Amino acid sequence: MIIHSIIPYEVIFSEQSENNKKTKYITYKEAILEVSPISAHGYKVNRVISTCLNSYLDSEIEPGAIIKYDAREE
Amino acid sequence: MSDENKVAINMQNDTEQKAQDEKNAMEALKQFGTSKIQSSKGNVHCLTIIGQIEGHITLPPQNKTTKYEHVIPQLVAIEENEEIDGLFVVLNTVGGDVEAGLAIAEMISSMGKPTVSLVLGGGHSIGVPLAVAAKHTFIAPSATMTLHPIRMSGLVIGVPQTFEYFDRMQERVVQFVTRNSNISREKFKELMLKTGELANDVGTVLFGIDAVENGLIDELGGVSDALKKLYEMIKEKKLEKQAENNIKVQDSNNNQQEGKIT
Repeated sequence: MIIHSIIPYEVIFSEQSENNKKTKYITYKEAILEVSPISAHGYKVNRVISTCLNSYLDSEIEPGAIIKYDAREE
Repeated sequence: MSDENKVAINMQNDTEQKAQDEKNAMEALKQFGTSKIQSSKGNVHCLTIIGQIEGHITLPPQNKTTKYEHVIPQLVAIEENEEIDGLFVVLNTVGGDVEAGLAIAEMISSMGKPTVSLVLGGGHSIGVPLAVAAKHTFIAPSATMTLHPIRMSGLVIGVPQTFEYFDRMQERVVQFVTRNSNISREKFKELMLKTGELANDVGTVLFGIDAVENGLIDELGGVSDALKKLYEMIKEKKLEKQAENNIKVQDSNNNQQEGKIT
């Protein structure tokens, strides 16, 4: 792998265990959301990944919001 | 029924229809998170390229990353969706994987729809090809771009072939940048291999104005300048399409007339 970055290798690849939070990516309301599971069917939104500007104006999926997501829908 | 009453009823129907349309639009927003931005200027999607460009290996979680498996399908969707008129790319990246960066850059540069990019904060290393990939490029005055040679992880064998391999990999970046911007190959390589600028590396840090003066970026500007340019490009594209359609209609009319004569 060839990295072309101003960040040194040691910094990019250093493992920080306490930061090793479990995140998942789900598709919800046509946006990809980076979420952390907080219960069996609930997720906390960490990040919205979408090119549609409306996704960023939707308070239901804003970072920090908790969404109910049925695993069967995945 | 008098004419006045008819007009009144029509107006009432219109307002009812409008209310129904609004309700449907709200319902669509609630159900699917979609909404048509009814702007006469066009519907724009925005792609933000942030942090590290992640390649084939998932980076440790302390890195903020842009993942190609997210970005590439989004770009395809933008190209294919008839309701989207243009793409606005916003960059604040420190670089990352060469292959993934070039993949995204090639996707952006080969899009048919109008694309405008804006470098805010930083567009370093592999962020340079990503920044120049759009059809028109902007950089904020306070933003910087670092041009420097690529590095490699893992075992390096001390043979001349290693250097040649590096040079060929570097060439991919150089070629993409010179193909998509106004900087010359010689100038780009000179800036990339300059000594005395960076503390522990060769290369150059370009400020917004330097990037424009060297021909790497088209213009100095901010969000409003970039969006204005994008809407102008969308307008031109629409006019082009209209002209094409008119020619098609004329052709089909001509064909019909010819058919009648024979």
